[in-house]
Amino acid sequence: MSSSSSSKMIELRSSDGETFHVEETVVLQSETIKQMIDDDCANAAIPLPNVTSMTLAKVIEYIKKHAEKPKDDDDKKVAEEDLKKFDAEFVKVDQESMLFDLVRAANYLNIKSLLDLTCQAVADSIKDLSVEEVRKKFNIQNDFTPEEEAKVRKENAWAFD
Amino acid sequence: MSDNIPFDIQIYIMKRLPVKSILQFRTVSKEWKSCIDLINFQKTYGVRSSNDCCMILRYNQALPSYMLSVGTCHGIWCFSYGIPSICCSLWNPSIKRSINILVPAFNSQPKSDKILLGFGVILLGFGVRPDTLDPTIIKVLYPRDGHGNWYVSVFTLSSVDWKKLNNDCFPRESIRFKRSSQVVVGRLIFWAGHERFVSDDGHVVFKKHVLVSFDLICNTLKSEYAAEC
Repeated sequence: MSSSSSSKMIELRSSDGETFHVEETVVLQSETIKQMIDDDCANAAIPLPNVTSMTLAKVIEYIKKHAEKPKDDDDKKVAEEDLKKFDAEFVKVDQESMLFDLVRAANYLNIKSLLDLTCQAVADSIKDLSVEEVRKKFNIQNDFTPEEEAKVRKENAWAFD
Repeated sequence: MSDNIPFDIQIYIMKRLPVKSILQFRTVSKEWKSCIDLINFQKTYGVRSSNDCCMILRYNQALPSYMLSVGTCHGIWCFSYGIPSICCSLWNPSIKRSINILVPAFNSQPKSDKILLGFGVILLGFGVRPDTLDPTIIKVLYPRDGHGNWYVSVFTLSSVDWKKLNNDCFPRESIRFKRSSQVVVGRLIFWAGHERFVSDDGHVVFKKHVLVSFDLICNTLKSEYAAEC
């Protein structure tokens, strides 16, 4: 990367003990890590007990791509298109649990654009599911009695048909 | 880390769902329902999902009449058409669906000389009850001239039925509405109107502007004088 000579490297440690070296300019996209660096807590490896190495590798792939700066205006348009394509591919993960892991990591690391992207991907994946399937996906207990549920269903009659 | 997605992130995901899914998912759990029903959720949902989508509504019908817009509330439009029997169409552009509702004709009303066809005026109002999100149409039928009883009925989509309102919740019958003047604010539908004061010999002495409101939750009509400017 072009800016590597001028940028400090930050060491991140995943929950399973793997370390990753990322440029400071790249890692600053995480508000959580930015705060740690500002508070001078980043002299040693930053422990991320909530993020596995597999998820962290994906997150780093994302923030690296999003840190790339286009050289000029012509390049900007191409770069924008390229980034769109990258985002679309990025959320096409094999396992659904990976998507949920990314949502949680984006939330924990406070990377707004990644949270937006992954939450939209989750929304797209659940929008056509039944209510029961949604409960299962989020591990939600149905706390309605059958009568209460029937009443709520009746309130928006035209959403059920 | 727990496998569960924290609730605030679940809300974040909910806000990215299409309207129809959101309505269906009100039955996921009590927590989801109360969150979706919060007015704040609906406000931020609307802001995020605003896009430059233009729609043209086209309607075909046999009756030679034109369509009037009754009002819009919570993203749902209400139109009326047809003479002498009136129909209302509720149109929800978010889910691209509409529902037709027959407005009860004069013959189902109580017999009153002044309200017979041609002498009666129908005013329609439309709003969505903020607590239950129930689309509601109100119909006020009153004599065109002079005093006389009002006949007010309310339709709710949840009941798919018209219900007559009792006379004791009406304002003074000398009030007249201005057509197509409705505005919905929170739980109230407002109309502009006026009240005429007539001298003993039948001449109009003066006219006062009135604001009439209908409470979507309590189903009551109220009036107050508008400030003169």
